[in-house]
Amino acid sequence: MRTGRGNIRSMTIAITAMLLSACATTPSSVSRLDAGGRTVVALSDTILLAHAVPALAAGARDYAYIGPVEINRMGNRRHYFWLGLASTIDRTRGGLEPAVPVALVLLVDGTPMRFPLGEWPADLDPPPYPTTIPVYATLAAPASLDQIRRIARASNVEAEIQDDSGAEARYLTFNGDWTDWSAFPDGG
Amino acid sequence: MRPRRRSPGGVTVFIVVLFACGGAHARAIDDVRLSRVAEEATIEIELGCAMRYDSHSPLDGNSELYIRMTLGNDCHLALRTGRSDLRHPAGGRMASLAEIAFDADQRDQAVITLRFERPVRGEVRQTTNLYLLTVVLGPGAPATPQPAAPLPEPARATVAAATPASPRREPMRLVRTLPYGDEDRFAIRLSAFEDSTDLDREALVPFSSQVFYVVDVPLGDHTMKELRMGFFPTEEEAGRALARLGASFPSAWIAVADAGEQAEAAEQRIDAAGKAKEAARDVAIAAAHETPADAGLSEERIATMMSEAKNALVRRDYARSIDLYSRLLQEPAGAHRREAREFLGVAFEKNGQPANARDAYEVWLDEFPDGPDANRVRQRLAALTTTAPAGERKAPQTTLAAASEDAPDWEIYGSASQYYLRGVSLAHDSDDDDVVGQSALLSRALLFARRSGERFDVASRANLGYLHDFVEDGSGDQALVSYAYIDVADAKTDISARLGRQRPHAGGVLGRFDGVSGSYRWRPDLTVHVSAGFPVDSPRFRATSDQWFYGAGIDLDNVFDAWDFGVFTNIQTVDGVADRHAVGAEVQYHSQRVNVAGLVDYDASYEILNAGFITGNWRINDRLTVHGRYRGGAAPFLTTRNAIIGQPVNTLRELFPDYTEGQLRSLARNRTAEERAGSAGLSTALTPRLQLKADVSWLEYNATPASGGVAAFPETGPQVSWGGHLLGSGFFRAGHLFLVGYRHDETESVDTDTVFVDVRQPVGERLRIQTRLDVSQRVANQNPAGDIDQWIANPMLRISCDWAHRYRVEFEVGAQWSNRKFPAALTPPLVEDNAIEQTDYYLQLGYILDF
Repeated sequence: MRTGRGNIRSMTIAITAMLLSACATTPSSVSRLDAGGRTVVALSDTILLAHAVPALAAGARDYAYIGPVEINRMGNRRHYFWLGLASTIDRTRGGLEPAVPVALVLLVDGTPMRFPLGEWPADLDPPPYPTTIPVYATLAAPASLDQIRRIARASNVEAEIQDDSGAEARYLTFNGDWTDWSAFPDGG
Repeated sequence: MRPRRRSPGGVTVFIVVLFACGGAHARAIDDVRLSRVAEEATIEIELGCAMRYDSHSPLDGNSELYIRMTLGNDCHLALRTGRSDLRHPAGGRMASLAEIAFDADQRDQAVITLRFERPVRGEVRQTTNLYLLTVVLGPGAPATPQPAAPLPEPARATVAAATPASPRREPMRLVRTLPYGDEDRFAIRLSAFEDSTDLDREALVPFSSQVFYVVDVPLGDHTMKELRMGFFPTEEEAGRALARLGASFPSAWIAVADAGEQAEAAEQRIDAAGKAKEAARDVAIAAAHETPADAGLSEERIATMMSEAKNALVRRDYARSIDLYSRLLQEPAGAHRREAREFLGVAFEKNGQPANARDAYEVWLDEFPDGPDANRVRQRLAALTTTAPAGERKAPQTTLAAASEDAPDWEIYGSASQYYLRGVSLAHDSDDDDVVGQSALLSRALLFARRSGERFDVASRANLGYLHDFVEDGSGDQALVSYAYIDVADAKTDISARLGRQRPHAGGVLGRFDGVSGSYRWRPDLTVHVSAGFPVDSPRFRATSDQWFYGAGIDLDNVFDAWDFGVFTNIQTVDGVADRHAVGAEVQYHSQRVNVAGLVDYDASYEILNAGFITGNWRINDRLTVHGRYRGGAAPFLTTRNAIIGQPVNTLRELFPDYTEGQLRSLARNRTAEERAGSAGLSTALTPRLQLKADVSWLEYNATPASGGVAAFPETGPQVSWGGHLLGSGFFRAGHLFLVGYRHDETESVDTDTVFVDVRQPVGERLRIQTRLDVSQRVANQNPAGDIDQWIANPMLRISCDWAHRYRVEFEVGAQWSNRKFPAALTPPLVEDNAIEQTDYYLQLGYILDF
């Protein structure tokens, strides 16, 4: 027979897990007004994608944070995918350079959507998403809200980042599911 | 100590002014309509009162445009005391327009500031309709390149395994800078190219005038091809097209098409031999029409088909006409394409397919941007775009999800506002009380509702107000109805009608009326107008059946390319007698540098020129614009109803027992003076941020005779005014504006010199502070005892706060101080030292909510 203390502990763990799960999968919408008078709307959390590079080290990975962003300039709303690139690979030792990413390809339920990448504008710093690993490049791709909505509703999304050499690296979600984007304005 | 007295006359005048301001309820900018044709955007600004366009600056390549206007007489009564307005127009994205601000000084000058999100090149036009201002924007100047994003320094200390050192990241700068999307448009990704054999070609028939093209999607070691259809200026428009595709393309989505993709698509469309062209066009268009893209049509066959297509259009067999024109346009080259593309749009329009018509016109303008017929096509497209894209008016917060799935049934927008108005004349003697001239709450509501359908567009507008008067024995509460009408437009027959309270500004209609007006576009360049109703003198009044009119007119557009003509007639009756029998004409010439508009309105029953008016602007070069105008005619406008002027009656029929109809008409003529007025001036850009405007004007009225117990009115003699001001803009930051000026007014009895300074300073993005000070010296020289000197100062402070582009709080306080000194020789003295000092102030506090 379980003791009361055991029940309480189990319930506490379950509730904590549920809360953490809820926090982890349902980010809220965050908006801020930048110095240029633009309203930048993003979610409170990104999706973290990882691309393993086992040839360099067992745990070596390149990471890509990705999240939808809306920039509202005087009512003119434009949508983007923000992309933060990070890495736990010290390429300096091998004399390697990170490739220059030129496009993001999202496989949305198996159908590819390709997004040419550009630099995240300097005057829109700070980046719209927090990252636990420091990013070494912040990029963005113009997207339609329709695409954001379709991605949000997809049951499976995978990502590829194409670089300027024509090579592409497939990224998978690092911690499981594709984050719920339903809180993104008009997008979920 | 000098005794000070309050001037009863001054109080009266001040109360009258305040009453007028409170009773009126127009906004300086009544409405803003935007439309876009390819790279040309048109902004139509409907003004709350008559204003004459003088000049604008800078002329090119700036993100702010200042338009200098001269206020008409009705503005002084129509605009509320603030005489300032700020709009964030819905649909502004079509022209990258962020906001429109209106600021008027205490006199008759105003500046309309258009603030854009990117540099623009534009033209400003105005016809004889002084209630409408049109700004036409061409392709914008190249946007200032955004600085390349500095790569963030890695915070290696926080990471166990270091990220790459910064020198290794230099190649990252090769990544293109992210555009802000000004050049981006939207396309629909129809399907992967492998699926093209399964295309539902019927579903693409309505889109045959769109651009179809193929984009490569490199994926690993192979390249996939996507068939796309473009281009749409907004995602909402693309969403509507996607919704129309329905289940035929379940995997279609909306994608962003950047400038490079648009250019590639254009090349594909032009390059008939290209593989992509064949793939896209063959699949999407030729097959959709079930007409094989054969080896080409002979010139003879093309001529025959053109003739057949036009005949089909005339006999209203639009489907046949569309088929023929579409087939003809599959021919990659030939002189026929110009006409075929345009009339394909006309056929779509007549067939109740405005979206396809818009597409056809846009493609036409892409293909033939120049030429004498370009204006005509732009006008066709503007007419469609102005009424059709309901989504452009959607509030920013409206869900795009809904917009992309279903076209909205109705779009509703407007504003609500309340202002407390107070005007007080201060007592300068302790024995007297302050006189409250006005204490009132003015509530207003503006409501617009539109619905765009495949065939019928419906729009309605209501501009309502209610003035609650807190002053005992004041004017009392007033209900105000400026506009309340409903519009119905039939795209198939080109007939439109408007029913309700309205105020057209052309076609010989004098002003606001309750009734009906309609138009029929008989030919592409010829429109017939009719109207009938009951005139309404003021928004406060209800129409009565005692006075009514009917009229008709014809407009001819782009005759001899740059000329527009119109003729009209208008018959008006009051209390059963002829009130007005007008025939008139309007003409306008517009070119890149010259804009001239003229109007004549002749009363055939009185055989008098009621109004003759010509105005023109000539942009001599990019720094100098000159303008001039002349007006002659009756003042006030001659109608038989003028007979009641000066009589102790409110209606004409009250004079019937005492006067015959002929006598009433004589009385009307006697009460009507002849006006002659002219002005000329120049505007020049001294520096990119400093403009100078100078003008001289002249006005005189002739005498009117005594009759019917009403005294004669002597001629005024010439009233001359000249002056100028410096306008500085953006000196310290965007939105900063100042005016410093001087003006001299001279009549036969009074000379006035005025200096004024007006500063508008935004503080942050939300707060705007405006301060103004006018100081005048008046000398009245008709008193035999000597001159009467008067100093007048008018300070004003106005603060407004906006947020979310929807809400605004305004506070304005102003005062008038004057000191009038009579000649010492005046006997008996009016007051102890023959000096009267007077101080009045007003304030208003209110809010506006846009929805």
